Amino acid sequence: MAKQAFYHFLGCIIPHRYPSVESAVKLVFKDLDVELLDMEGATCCPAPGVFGSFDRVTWATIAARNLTIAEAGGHPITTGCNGCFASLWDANHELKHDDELRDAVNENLAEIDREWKGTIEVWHYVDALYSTVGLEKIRKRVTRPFTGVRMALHPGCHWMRPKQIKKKDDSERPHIFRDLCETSGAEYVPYKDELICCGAGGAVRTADVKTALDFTKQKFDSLLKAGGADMIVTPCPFCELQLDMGQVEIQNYFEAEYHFDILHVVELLALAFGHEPEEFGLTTHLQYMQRKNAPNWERLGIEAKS
Amino acid sequence: MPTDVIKAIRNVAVAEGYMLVPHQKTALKVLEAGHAVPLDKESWENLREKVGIERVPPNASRYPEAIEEIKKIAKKTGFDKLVEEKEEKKEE
Repeated sequence: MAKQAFYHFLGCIIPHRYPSVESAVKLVFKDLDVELLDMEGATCCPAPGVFGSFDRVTWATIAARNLTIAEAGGHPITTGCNGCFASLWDANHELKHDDELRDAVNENLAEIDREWKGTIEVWHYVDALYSTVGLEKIRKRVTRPFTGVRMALHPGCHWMRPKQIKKKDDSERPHIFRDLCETSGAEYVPYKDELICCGAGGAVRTADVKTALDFTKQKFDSLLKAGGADMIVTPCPFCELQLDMGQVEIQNYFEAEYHFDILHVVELLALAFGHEPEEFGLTTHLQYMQRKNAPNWERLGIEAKS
Repeated sequence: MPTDVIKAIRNVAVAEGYMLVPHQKTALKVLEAGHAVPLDKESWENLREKVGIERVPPNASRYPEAIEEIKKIAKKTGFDKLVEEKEEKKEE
């Protein structure tokens, strides 16, 4: 039987700021026998907050250009970023249901000898893992369960919202991301503001970083009120950046100190599958680089190596 | 969808010239480098090598022709004019 294969849409933040996520997903997908193919010449998704707010047709055209790369090869796309998912999946969906948009986009794509045909689908890593690989197969690969480690989740905005369009999970009472993260053996910690935005997306962080950090601070305070957690797991690198590097920025803007280790879900799984943190570079997260410290190995239940 | 309405209102506002400078800079960055957050320093390439992957990813960082295609799209839709530096900036 042919191996399941996806075109790997990297986006901007994973390859250019949090490459540990790119390294981790390659380990995880290889362990699960799923192929990741290079998407040569892919560009920005484009950033849905800024581009979607500036001009819908340009946003949809640049997104569709990325989709045509996968259409040419005949494989679905997978991406590990909620923002990229918002652009690629939403554009793919809107082009299927909006003739006027489709005609406008294909007229623009004709300038570069491309045409959107609607022949492939877009999957977030979470979708690929949950629906294509399945939880059972993932559980079998866990050799280092995070038993006793308290795990808070930050699912972010675009993966499951708006629920009437995405039709994937109940965005008010979601379970899919939790089910996936719990395969690691970690203990789920509910907190009141689990489902609020991290503050980064929707062009907010770009517009006003202090306002964005206010959201992040609210989230952290809500988590501390619930008893805190040993780690926060997210499926989005922009959320990861906001929650991770955001702790350093919160210290500067609000003089409040927080110490949370933030993991992308594929980094969590890489560790649960028995990979060592140095195999994918966990300590290169910008929080550690800027604070000149390391993850709290003891809290994560991982043996620290010098 | 409420978000769609907000985005449509924002599209109108932007067309009328209401644009925050940092957003404009993000848009210009995509037209220049193909990415809103580009591989713009050697230190980021070093970081990639440190985590065990190739220094330059197979996106627009490696393929400048992709950036040319983005520029052509922007020219066709008028996006390039929308986000270009203007001599007299309207009030934000």
